[in-house]
Amino acid sequence: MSFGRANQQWATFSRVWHILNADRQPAGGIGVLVSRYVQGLHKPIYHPTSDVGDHVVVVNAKKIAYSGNKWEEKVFTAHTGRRKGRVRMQAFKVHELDPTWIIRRNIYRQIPNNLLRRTLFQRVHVFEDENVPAEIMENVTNVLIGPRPVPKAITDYTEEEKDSFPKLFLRDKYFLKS
Amino acid sequence: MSVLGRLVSSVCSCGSKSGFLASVQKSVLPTYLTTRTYRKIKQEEGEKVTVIKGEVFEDTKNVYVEKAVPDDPCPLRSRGIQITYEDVLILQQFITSTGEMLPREHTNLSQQEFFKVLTCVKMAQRANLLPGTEDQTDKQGNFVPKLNRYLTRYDVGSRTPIRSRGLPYTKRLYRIGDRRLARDAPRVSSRPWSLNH
Repeated sequence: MSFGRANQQWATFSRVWHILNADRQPAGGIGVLVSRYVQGLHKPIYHPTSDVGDHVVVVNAKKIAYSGNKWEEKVFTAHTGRRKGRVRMQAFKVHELDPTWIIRRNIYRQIPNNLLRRTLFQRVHVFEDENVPAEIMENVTNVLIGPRPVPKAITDYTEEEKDSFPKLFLRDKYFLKS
Repeated sequence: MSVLGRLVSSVCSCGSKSGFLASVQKSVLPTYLTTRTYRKIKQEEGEKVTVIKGEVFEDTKNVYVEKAVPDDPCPLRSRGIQITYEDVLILQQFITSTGEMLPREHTNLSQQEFFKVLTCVKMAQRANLLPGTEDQTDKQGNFVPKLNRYLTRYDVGSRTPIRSRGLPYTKRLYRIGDRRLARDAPRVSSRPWSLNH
């Protein structure tokens, strides 16, 4: 392959497609990470007016995690502009109606309030499942790691690891509950 | 590994007139055995007969760790262990198979450590790391969908929605995690755990 000046230019300014699994990840952290890659802040050639951002595909949006009791306590508000038009919904109800709404709102608000925001937001593709259309999966070349390190459940450990883990107290002989 | 024998030198006073004191070395076994026999109930149902047996079996896969402070009965405090909700292999030892806590008289936990383990177990159950909660209902009895969450200190249907959070200087914050755990839990950086979002 000839590495002339034109090819070098095209290679540095090419648009890359990333994929991110939102399973058990916090909604705010995903917004920060995705907006960073969509603007192009991860590249040394960054400039806001030169079109340097990448595409990001977010998968498993309905498996998002909130810390604490935010699913019940957090309330999203909206107003239609008409009388008696105030809508207040808890987070789990909003998630029921549209599972991608919370992530898309967080990403949109993390991108700076510019005239570029709407074009950059068109490069974010959010899916609730792992069913992504083939036209988009063809382009994906990079995998992004989520902000939260997911802890292991007890079913993820093997039997050997569970047995070899040291015990902290000895059970009474006559205690039958297991 | 288990320690089965311990040599203790004890002075035995003989009641002889000459006043001769003989020092005798006794091999004294410790008060516990690190391998133990347990009992199990087995039920076998036939055509007309059900047989209920009590079986005795030995736990050979026992790996017991000795205490740093032998006088302390609490298994966590004597070894200087501080827990988080992610330490599932430690928490599983204080739990039954259904997800209930074992009594304090059986495990010899101190009261503070018992409540720490309780909150960690509840948080791990709500984060689907430990078995326990399958059906979740609201206070009014409505079905709550099973969603991913972590560090949920309070019960799922127990909190009311926060409609107005207030001004920046008097903001009502969401509570995350437990204060007693955050005070003692291990952390590499000097920044404290964030308890309010």
